Amino acid sequence: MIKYVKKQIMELLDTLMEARETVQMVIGQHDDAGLMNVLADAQEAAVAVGNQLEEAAENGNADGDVTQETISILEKYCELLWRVTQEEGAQERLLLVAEGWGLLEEVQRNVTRLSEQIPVVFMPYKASMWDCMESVWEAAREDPDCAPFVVPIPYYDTQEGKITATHYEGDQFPAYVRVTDYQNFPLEEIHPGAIFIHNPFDDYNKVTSVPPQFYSGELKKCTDRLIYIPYYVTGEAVYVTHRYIPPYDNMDFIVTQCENMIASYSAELPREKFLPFGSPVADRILKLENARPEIPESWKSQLKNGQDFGSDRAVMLNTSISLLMKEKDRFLDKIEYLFDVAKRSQGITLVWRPHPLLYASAQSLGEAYAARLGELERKFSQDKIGVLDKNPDVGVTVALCDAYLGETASSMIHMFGIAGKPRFYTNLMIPERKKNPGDTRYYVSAFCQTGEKEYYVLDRTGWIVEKNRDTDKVTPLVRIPGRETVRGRAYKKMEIRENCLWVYPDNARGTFIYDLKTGKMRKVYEPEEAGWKGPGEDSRKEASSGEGDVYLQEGLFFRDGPVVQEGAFFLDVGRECRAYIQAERFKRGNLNHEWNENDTNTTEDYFNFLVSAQDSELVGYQGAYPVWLASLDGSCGRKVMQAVKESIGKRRA
Amino acid sequence: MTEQKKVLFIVYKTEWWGCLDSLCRQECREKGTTCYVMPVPRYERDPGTLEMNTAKKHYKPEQLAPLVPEGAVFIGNWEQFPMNQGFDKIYIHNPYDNANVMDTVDVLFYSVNLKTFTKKLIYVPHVLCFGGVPMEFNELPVYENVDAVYLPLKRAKYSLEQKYDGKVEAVPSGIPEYLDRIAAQIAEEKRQSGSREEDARKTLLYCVSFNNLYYGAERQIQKMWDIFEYARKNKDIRLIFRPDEDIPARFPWLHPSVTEGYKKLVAYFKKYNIGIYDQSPDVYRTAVEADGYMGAHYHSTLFNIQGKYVLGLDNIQRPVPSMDARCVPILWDAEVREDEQGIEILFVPDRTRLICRMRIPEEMIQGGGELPGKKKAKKHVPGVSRGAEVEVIAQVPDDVSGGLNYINIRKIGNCLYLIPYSSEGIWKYDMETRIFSQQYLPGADNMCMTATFSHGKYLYMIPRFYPGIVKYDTETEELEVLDGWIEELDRDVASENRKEPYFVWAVKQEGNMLYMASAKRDAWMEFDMDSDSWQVRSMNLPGRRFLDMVKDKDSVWLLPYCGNEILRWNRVTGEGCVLYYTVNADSKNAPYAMGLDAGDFVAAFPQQVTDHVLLIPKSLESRGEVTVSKGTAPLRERDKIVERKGLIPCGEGAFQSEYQRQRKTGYEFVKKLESGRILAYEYYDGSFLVLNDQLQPLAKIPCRLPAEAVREQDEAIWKEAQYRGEFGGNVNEGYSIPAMIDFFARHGGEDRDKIRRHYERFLEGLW
Repeated sequence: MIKYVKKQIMELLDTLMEARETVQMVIGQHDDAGLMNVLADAQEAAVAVGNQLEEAAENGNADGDVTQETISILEKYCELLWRVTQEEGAQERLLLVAEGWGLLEEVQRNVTRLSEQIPVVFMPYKASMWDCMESVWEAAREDPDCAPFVVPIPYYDTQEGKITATHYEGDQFPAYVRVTDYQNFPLEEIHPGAIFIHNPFDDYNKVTSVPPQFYSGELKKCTDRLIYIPYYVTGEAVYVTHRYIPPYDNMDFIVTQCENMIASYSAELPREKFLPFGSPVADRILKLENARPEIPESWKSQLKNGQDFGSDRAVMLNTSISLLMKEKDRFLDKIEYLFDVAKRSQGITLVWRPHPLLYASAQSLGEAYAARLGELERKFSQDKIGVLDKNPDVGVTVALCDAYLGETASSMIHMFGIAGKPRFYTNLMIPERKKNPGDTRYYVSAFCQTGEKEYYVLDRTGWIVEKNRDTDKVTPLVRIPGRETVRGRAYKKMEIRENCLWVYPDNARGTFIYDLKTGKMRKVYEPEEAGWKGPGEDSRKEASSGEGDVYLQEGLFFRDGPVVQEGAFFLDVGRECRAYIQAERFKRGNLNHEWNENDTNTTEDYFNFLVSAQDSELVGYQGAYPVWLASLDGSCGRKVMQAVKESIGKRRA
Repeated sequence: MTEQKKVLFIVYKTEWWGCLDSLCRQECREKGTTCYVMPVPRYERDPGTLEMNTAKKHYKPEQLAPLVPEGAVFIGNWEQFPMNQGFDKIYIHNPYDNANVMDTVDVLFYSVNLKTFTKKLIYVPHVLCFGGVPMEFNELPVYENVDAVYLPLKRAKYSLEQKYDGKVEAVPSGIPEYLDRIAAQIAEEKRQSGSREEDARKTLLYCVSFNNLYYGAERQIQKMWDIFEYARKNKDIRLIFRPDEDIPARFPWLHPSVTEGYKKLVAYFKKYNIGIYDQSPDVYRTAVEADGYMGAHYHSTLFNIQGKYVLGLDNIQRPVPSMDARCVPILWDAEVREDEQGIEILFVPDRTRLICRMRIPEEMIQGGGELPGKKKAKKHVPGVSRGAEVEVIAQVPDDVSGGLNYINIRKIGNCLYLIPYSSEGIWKYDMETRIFSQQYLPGADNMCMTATFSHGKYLYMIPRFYPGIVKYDTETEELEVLDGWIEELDRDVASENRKEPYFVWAVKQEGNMLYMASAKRDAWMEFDMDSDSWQVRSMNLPGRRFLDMVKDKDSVWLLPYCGNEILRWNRVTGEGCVLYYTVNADSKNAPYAMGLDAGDFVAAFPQQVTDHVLLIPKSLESRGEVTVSKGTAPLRERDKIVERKGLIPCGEGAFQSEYQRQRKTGYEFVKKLESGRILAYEYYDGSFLVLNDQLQPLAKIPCRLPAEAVREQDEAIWKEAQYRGEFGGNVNEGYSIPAMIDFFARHGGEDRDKIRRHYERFLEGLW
C-alpha cells in the first residue's frame, strides 16, 4: 500500500478511535438522535476505509489476504454499530461499543502491518502507444514492493502555438488496465517513486503537446525518478530528430533498445541516464506470439469461411496517410494493384489496416480521391480479398498475421521483425506487363533423356527439371547448388550413367552427380595439380553411353551426326513448375525473410513463397533484431522496473 | 521551308556542362535549329545571412567556350543577349532557383522566369540518376516550373512527386559519353606531356555529403576517423577526399558535436597529408581520374557507369582490425595428431575455405613456444607466426564464402572430411590425389552440424539444426539420415526455443556410445552407434539447456546454454544438483563454453571477458559442500571450486585488439592428447597452448594465417558477391574497411567491362 493511502486510512481510523469517547458520552446522555448521527458518521468513515482498502487490493497495491480480512472486520464493526442502535439499555450499548472499537484496534494493527509500497505511475497520452509501457507496468504489478497506477493524460493538437483540439483517451485502454482519472490523482501529495512517460517533447513538438503541468520539468518535481520510454522501435539508431531534445535533461532514465543505440544519442547525455534493456513493445509482441489471441469477432464475417483464415496465409497490408497525401493516385493505383495480386493468388488473405484518418485525408484531397478510396474499400470487401482491420490493438493484428506487406516507413515493420515474420516492402511502381505475361520458358544449357523422361538444366536457375514426354508435364527435380556464383553458362552437358545424372561444367566448378533413384547428390572437382580432366569437348563421345544420346552444345542439339535443332533452346516449364522455382529462389535469397519489391522480387513471388512455405518457415527470422534489442525474451519490462526500483532504493537510503 | 528553331542552353556551372553536352550536339545536328550556349553568373551568399553578395561573382565564360560543340553559338556576354526573343526550348541544369544556400544565379534565370521565354523549359539533372533523382535534389523549385524533366529511366519518376509524372521524359543521359570524352582527353594530355605513371597505386575518391553528416552524426564522424587513420598508416591507395562544398554553409543544421568533429577531421586530413583534399569544381573529371569510389553519395553512379568499383559505406561502427588481427584465425575444431616429433594440427579457419596445417615441433614445446637457438624476428610481420608456420595445403572449391563454413574436420586414412556448418555439403579431400568431392543431403538448405564422431568406417554427425543424425560411410560415401528421434525430442519444446539448436557441444563419445544433452529442451539422448538405436529421456532438470558437458562414468557435469547454473547430474539416477552459479545468465555467449575432463577435476574454459578458468573437483556432490575460491588458489583443493586466474590467457585484458574483443569468443578448441597433455586454442591473442595435466602452460605458440591467404579469402567474398550481383561493381563494407580497401587496391582495375555492360543494359531497360 502506498504511503499516501495508508496515511489517509490511518487518519480516518484515528478519527474513528477518537469518536469512541463521543459515542460513550452520547450513550450516557441517552441522546438517541445524537447517537444516530455519530454512529452514522462512524459507519461512513468505516465504509470509506473499506473502500480504500478494496481499491488498493484490486489495483494489486496491497496484500489481498490482509485487506480482505480487514474489510471483513470493518463489516463486523459496521454490524455492531447497527446493533448499538437496536439496543435500548446503555450498558448493553456500551458493551457493543467496546467490542466494536476493539475491532477497530485490530483494523489499525492490520493496516499498520501492511507494507509500504513505492507508488509507480504510468502516464501515457495515447492508448495506441500503451504497448511501450505494458510490460513495465506488469512487472510493477508483480512486484510486492511497488504499487502501480496508470494515469492517462490528455493531449492537444496545436498549430502555430494555438490549441486546435483536445483529446483524452483514458477510455481506450485495454479492459484489463485499470486507469485512474488524472484529475483525481494527487500527484504531488503521493510523490511517486517513479513516473513513466512516452512523450519526451514538452513544448518542442509543433503538432502535439500535453498540458504544461505534465511537462517533464513539472513531473520531475513530483517524483524521485522520471523515466522516458520511447513509444517506437527502430533499427540500428534512434531517429535523428530524437537524438537530443532538451527535456531529456529532466529525465532520470531513458530506456533504450541496446547498448549500441546509446551512441546514437547525443554524446552530451551521460551514460548513466540510459537503461539499455530492450523495448517493452518487443515484450508485448513476444507475449502475444506465445499466447495467440482469438480472432476478433469483427473479422470473422469478412473471412472466406466465416470463421478463420483456414489454410490461407494472413498478410497484413500496411498503408499510411503520409504516402496518400504525397503520392495520391500512385498510392491508390498501388493499393488496387496489390488487391488484384492478392485476389489472383490462391491461399492469401490480406488484413488491411488503413489508418483511421485515411478516408478523411482522401476527402481533404478532393472528392475524386475519396470516391476512389471508397470504391477500393468496397471492392476489398465484396471480393473477400481480406479483412478490413479496425481493431485498436495493433499487437493483436501482428500476432494473428503470418506476414507483412507495405511501406518501410512504419514501426509496424519492426513489430513483424521482432516476431520473426516475413516482411515485404513495396514501392509505388506498378510492374509493367511483360510482352508475354505468362512467360514460363527458361533457357536450357544441357539435356539428356531416357525412356519417356527428359532432363533439362535450366541454366540461369540451376534447376534440373524432368519432363514426361507422354504428358508433357515438367517437374522440378533438383537445384544444383552454387549456380549464383557462376558467370555465364554454368553447365554445358548432361548424361545419364548408371541411373545418375552427370552434369558437366562449363564455367561452374565441379561435375554435379544426381542419383535419380535415391535423390542423393554430390559434386566432384578437378584436383588442382593432378592434371585430371573431366569430360570435355574431346571426350564427349567417350563419356556418353547408350544409343541415340542427344546432347546440347553451344545451343545446338547434336545427335552423333547431323544437327537436330539450331539456336538457343528454351523449355516451357509451365506455370506450376515456374511458380515453384520462383518461390524457392525467393526464399533462399534472403535468410532474414525481408525483401524489397523490385524486378526480381515481385509481390507474386512473395505470395508464392508464403503459400508454399511450411509453418515453421514463417517464424523465427528476426534478422538483426537480436542485435538491435538487448532482450528478446520478454524481460525488458522486468529489468527496467528492477533498475528503477534499485535506484529509488539507493536514493531513499 | 523548314521552320527555324532556336534552342538555348543556360549553363550555371561549367563543370556541370557534361549533362548538357550530348543534347547540345543533338540539337546542333537538327536542321533549321540555331543552338545557343550561354553561361550565366552566379553569386555567393554571405554565410549566416544567406544574402546574395554581388561582389562575389563567379563568371568565367572563357572556361566553357572550348567545351561548346561545333555548330553551337557561344554567348560570352549574357547581359547583351536578349532573352525576350523567345526560344523553342531552353535547357537548364540548375535545379535551385533561390533554394541553394551556397549561391544563386540572377533572378532572371530562375526557372519561374525562364518559363516566360520559351515554349519548352527542360531540366536536365547534372547527376546521373539510376533509380531516381537523389534526395538532395528531388524537392527543389525547378520541377514546378519546367515543362520537362529528362531522366534516363522512366521509372525514375517515382523519386519525384506524382504531379510531375507528366513532365518526366526518358532520355538517355549524355553523362556516360561525356565521361568517355574526358577520359580520352586526359589520355591525350598525358601522351602529349610525355608523363609516365609514377604512382601505380589505385586512386580512391571518398565523398561526403551534408546528408551523410546529418543522418549519420557521430557515427559518421567516427567512420571518417577510421578511414583517415587507415589511409594514414596504409598507403596502398591514394585517397581523394571530396566533401560537398555546401557542408560548411550548413553547419548550423548540424549538432555542434558533429560540426566540431568534422572540422577536426578536415584539419587532421590536411595536417598529415593523408591524401588529396579535393575542392575542384569538376566532379566529372575527378570521377574519370579516380579508379574507384567510396562512400554513400550520389556521385557513385559516375563510377558505376564507367565500370569502376564503388565501395559502399554504412554507419555501423566496427573496430578496424590491423593486418595481424585479421590473420588471427577463429577455429572451432582441429584434427590433431601427436607423435614423438611433435603435434600436427589440421584446421579450417572461420571465414575461409583453406585447409591449413601447423606443425609444432616437440623441441618448440619443450622450449616453451620457441625453437632453441632461433632468435625472434626483430620486426613482427603481420601474418607471420613467431612460432610454428601455418601452411595452406588446399582450398575447398566451395560456393559458400564468409562465416563459419565447416564445424569439424576429421582425417581418416588419406582423406580429410569437412563437416558443414554454413557449407551445403560434406566435403571429402583426398590428400594424395588432391580430389575434392562434396555430398549433399537432399532438401537440405541448412546442414548445420555441431559435432562429428568416428566409429569404424563411419562418421556420425550430430546436428545443430539439421533434423537428423547423419551417418556417413567413408568407404562407399553413402549417407543415411537417422531421424526417428526428432519427433520425440521436439515434443514439449517451449515455443521460444523452437529455433534453438538440438545440440551444441554437450555431446561425448565413449566407445560405441554417444551421450548428448540437448540445447533445445531438458532432454538426454544416448545413441548406440553399433545398432543405430537411441533413447531419449528427460533429465529432470526442467527449464535448462546445455552447451557442453564432461562425462565420467555416470556423472555428468553440464555447462549451461542461456542459463547460469553449472550442474552435476547422474545419468542413471537422474539426480542433479547445482554446483556453481555463473554470471551472464541471459546470453548465449556463455562465460564458459568448453569443458574438459582433467582427471580429478573438471575444467571449464573461459569465453569473452571471463578472467579465470573454473576448476571443479569431481568429488563435489552438491552445492552445500561447495565453497568458491578465487584468484590464484592452488588447484588441488578437493572441497573448493576454484576460479583460477593467471593460469592461462583470458579475460578482457587478454584481448590483443578491440576487433578481437568484439568477436565475443575466447577458448575455441580444447583437446586432451594421448600423452596426457592438453592442446587448447585461444582467440584472445591467437595462440595454441600446450598444457600439462594440471593445466599449467608448457608452451604458447602464436598462430597466424599467411597474410596473403587472408587477403585472398576476404577478396573471394567480394568477388563472389559480384557474381551473385551480376557484376554491379558494388562492394559493401562487410566486416572491415581495411579488407574492402585491400580488395580495391588489388582488384580495383578489374571487371570494368563487365560492370560497364551491366549498367548499359540497365539503362537500356533490359535488366
